[in-house]
Amino acid sequence: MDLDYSKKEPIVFPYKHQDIYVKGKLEKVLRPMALVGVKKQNFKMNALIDTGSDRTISFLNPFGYQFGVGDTIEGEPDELRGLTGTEKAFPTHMDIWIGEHRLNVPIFWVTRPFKINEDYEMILGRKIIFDNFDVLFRQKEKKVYFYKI
Amino acid sequence: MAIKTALDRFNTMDLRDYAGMAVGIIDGKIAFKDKNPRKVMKRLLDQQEDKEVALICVPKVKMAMSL
Repeated sequence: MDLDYSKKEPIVFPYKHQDIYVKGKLEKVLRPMALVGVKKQNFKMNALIDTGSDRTISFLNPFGYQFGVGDTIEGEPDELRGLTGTEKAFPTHMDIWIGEHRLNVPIFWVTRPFKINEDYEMILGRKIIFDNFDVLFRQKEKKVYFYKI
Repeated sequence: MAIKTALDRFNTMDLRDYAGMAVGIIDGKIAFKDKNPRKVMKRLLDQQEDKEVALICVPKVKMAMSL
């Protein structure tokens, strides 16, 4: 199969420089970030594009609650396991927009409060999203291209 | 390039200037910033429906979060 994107118009997101303090030591990192509409097209959130994550993740407190997610969740939260430990999270389906494209994806709302110094407000994982877009990372160019399939 | 959208603005931002802050963008302009993301999100949600808004939270201590 040939990969030919020349006739497709991608949605382009940037890699962004960040200064990260790890155990008091400064590190400069470059990370692929997206700006996606959440719940409605014109409310955008900043999301780390994480190919290593199956799921799209955000935080119930404060983001989910302000979207009204707290009114719909019930039962016990799921447990998410990752490299850095485990988190409890409630999954709910919500519309997100990548450019003009709307996708209904499960968002896992982590139950512990968001920490502004430590957390990304959203992690954009593969489920649904990578089924609908070919995602091309061009780190040298500091750009990420989303091609609708 | 004229900045018209939140993504245009996001592309021009050096996030290192906003470490540990939540930034609110309204129609391509940085409207406010605060250490409390709840306050910023609430103000953004209070905007009129026809405005494009964006919430940009910038961590300063983060290694990885793969789940």
